[in-house]
Amino acid sequence: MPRGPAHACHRRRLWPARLRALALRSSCLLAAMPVMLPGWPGSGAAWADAAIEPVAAGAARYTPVSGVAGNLSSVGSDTMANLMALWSERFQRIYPGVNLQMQAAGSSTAPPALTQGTADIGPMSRPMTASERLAFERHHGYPPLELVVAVDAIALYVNEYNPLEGISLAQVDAMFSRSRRCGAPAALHYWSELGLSGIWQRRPIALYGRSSASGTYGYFRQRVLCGGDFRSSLNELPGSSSVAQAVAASLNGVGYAGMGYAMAGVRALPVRQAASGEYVAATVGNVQAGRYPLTRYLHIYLNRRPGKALAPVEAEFLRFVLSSSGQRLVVKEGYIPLAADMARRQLRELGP
Amino acid sequence: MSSGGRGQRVSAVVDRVAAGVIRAGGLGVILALLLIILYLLFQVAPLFRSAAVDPLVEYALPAADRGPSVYLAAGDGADGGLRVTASGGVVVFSGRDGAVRRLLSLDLPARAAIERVVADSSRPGRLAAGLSDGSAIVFEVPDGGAEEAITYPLGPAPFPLLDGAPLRALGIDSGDDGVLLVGAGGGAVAAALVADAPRRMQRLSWDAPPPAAVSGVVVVPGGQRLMLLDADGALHPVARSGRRLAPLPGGPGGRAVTAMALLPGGRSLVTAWASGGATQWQLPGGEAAALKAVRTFDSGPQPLLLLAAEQHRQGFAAIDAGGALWLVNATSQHLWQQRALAAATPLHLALSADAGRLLLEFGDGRMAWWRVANAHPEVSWRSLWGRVAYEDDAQARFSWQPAASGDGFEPKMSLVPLVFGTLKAAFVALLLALPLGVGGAIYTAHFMDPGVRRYVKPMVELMEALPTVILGFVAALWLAPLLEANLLGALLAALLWPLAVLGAAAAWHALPPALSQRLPTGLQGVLVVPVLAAFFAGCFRCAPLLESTWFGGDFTLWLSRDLGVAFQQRNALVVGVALGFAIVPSIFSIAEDALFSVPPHLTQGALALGARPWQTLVGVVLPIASPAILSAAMIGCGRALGETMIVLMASGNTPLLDVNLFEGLRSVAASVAMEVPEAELGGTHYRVLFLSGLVLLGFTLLCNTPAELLRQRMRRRYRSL
Repeated sequence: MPRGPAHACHRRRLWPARLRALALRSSCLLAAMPVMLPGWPGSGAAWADAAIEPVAAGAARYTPVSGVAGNLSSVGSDTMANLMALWSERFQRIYPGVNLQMQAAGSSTAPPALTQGTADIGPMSRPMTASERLAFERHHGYPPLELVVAVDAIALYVNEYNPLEGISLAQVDAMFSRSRRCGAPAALHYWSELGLSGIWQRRPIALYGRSSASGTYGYFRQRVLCGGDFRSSLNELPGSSSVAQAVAASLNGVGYAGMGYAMAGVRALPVRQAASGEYVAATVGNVQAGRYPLTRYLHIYLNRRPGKALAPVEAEFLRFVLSSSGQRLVVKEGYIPLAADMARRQLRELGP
Repeated sequence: MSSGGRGQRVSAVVDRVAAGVIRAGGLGVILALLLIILYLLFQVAPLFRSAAVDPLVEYALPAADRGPSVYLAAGDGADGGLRVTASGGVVVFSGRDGAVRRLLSLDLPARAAIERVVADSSRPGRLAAGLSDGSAIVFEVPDGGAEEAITYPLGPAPFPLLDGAPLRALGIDSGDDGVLLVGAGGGAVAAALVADAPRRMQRLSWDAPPPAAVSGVVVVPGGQRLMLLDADGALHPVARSGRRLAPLPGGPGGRAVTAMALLPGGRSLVTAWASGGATQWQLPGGEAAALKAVRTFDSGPQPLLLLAAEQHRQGFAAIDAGGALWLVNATSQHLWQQRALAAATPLHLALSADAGRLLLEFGDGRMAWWRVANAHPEVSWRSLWGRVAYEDDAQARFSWQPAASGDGFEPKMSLVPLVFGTLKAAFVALLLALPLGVGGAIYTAHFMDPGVRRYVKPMVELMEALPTVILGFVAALWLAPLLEANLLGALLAALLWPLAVLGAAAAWHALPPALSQRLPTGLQGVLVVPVLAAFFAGCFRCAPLLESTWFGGDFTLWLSRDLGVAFQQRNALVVGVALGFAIVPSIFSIAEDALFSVPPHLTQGALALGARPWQTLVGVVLPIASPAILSAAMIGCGRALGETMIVLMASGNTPLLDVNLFEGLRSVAASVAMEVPEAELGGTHYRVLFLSGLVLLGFTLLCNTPAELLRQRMRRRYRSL
């Protein structure tokens, strides 16, 4: 089980966000001390939470219950690894008796683990395929329970020194795929074919992506390559953070990974769906407004026998994830939280 | 004397016990290895097992009074089947005994009978029925309890496609912009798009006249392409853009087609010829307009009359005119035949979604269920080791892409790129590690000052303690970008360092004895280290100047642009260096121990007889230590073949078949590490990974056995010394 490289390659991206949050809080504390007057602009805590409050408005608060303890094992998505870690850390603070074990080798590892019973929950950054569902049903006799827990966007990362303004999805298909099923006329091998010049003249494009175990790979293949195949020269890396790392270290590199994996040394390319029109940048605003074309849901799959209730640990964990506290952590991690009614719908599906 | 006797007895007992334990240990190792090989064989054997078909149950047609079926569908496992009759009856029956579970009726207009029923591949469970008055009805049969009725997602009113002519051929696809219905009959072809909200039917217009006498229609999932089959056997692709249909140049005709089926994924169509056999066509996608015949299946002279495509694999089941069942897999082009499945030709053939059950309906009112055990048809010797032309490919090639986190994907499981990549990585690593390890061992054992040796040997052996994950990590994140930025300097250093060492040695000899004798003899060798370090630094420092003078400022760009040698940052050279670094300590310690433990009386005797140190080394020491050096090389080779983490992190995992050292590679061990967690237990991908492990084991045995035999022979020869 390649737990080693996935965790070794994981750069905790929490530090920029956490440092920022820490700086905010400390500055707010200092500011709040002499300025306790209501209405003072910039009075600390209200401003810090203002960015998050509208997001969580309407989502249910989480109320702890008693009697929740035990082991909870999770096998699945690497994209959601940090998110699961944040959730589990907060959850363990609420229920100290819970022990959560996590393995994040890629979304495709979740269905076999759920089917065989080696995992309780399976986070996946793509929906289960029909054959995976079939394998689960054949083993258990009923389909898996599918819940949506957050919204994510896939960004196309290029080196920070790459001056390209933006790219269309057909061009991305022509760069990454062997078969060009989306209809691009010719394959793209060099950066100059995208309009760059100077040192980019006939500079080959180096492709970085995920391995086939990844849900990000599956989503990218379906959505951008129109179901086609990747080129054999695509470098398959074990984790999303290693994709961003590799692109940062390589001038002619381009890679795809979740939006939250941006780091110094890479920039996310604005993307447009058609061959002409405005490029849309990969920002939270664009994703929430539905303008960015590469958005997807992040799922969690569970094994729940119809008619029977879930184990309390699993049920409470999912309730926590779908509550306002859980969705606040989604924002902290750089993803987009669910709309309030979507979260309520998922809670209803989870059951009483 | 008695204590001496007891001491002797005790030591005899200890001797026997020790001998027994060691023997048991040795046998245990052999047993463990055999068990591992057996387990691998056990996991791999089902791959090569042939398909098997067993009859399950046979009974009379359920609700036979409703008439024979125009459509038949089979469920998985214990689920039953579904049949639709010409009078509009929908019968859901049990698989075990044919008992009718539900009996429903479609709302047909008066005096209209169902001519044809097709399933919508984009919306499972949705069916369309073509009626004898030229209209079509879209309906869904729910899976629910007995009280659930048939639903009409587009309304119960039929959609008039043709004017009065019976709909002989029908196609349906539910897409984002509505449901596309295509019907043909009586020499006319009509298509309509039915939007949902508001519900309205828009007829599609033809840019050019459609082919006449269309006998079959297939809509490619996505709704942008149709395939029309005419009575001549010619396939006509039609492209749709919005509400316009444009016929494209078609495939060759001249042979009548008996059956047609679309393979999952919507990119291939299989047509069965009246003269026998079948052809797989690649459907045009994107801008490509022409239809291409990619594979032919030779099923003998009897024509295939019924075709049923599998839903999760690129394969199909077929019944030929002689009543034989054929199970065909398109990727491996593997045909399997069961003779005489039925005495008479069945009317309908249905395959369940998991391809485990076959349902046949005969003209004499009987129905038969067969169980199909065809677990791994996509694997054959040819698909593993030969070139295969996959979907979307212009020519046959070797490819490793076994899973894709998606449906309708054709797995590409050729072991050739993996084996090639493993051998490439091992070759580069051994090229680096063998000379360094053995050379280092020779110098340390034979020429080095014992004082210095006391420090150097443990330091080199400490290298072995480095976890390979760290090595891979460092190679991927530090060495690879460094090498890309300083490739010219590195190549110069690697090619010219012998000159530097020889030059330094010559300079040392040219020094006056007063200076050279100041340094103790043992430390002379250590002087090479700063010389080499200075040389490497000099190469790296001078390289940018050379690059800008001769190579246009960027050596790697010059390589790929002007020399045509592609360059990837994570390439075989980086992997080779990191892997070599990991192997050197193993080779070094074994070789060094062997060289050091050559009996001193032999070396001293040679020296006393006037041989020079170099002659003693080559003539006496090396031959005696050669068995151990060979064994060190074998261990290094085995380690290089099987190393996982370094290759996984530093190689880029690109399954390329390229001798170019500056391109990436994909090794067997890295593939297994990355893919076993996602492979379905007992599935084809899972077993092929075990097969690749078995192949790797085979390679190691192949490499080690002759070396071991040679080693044994040399040991025998020099044992007397």
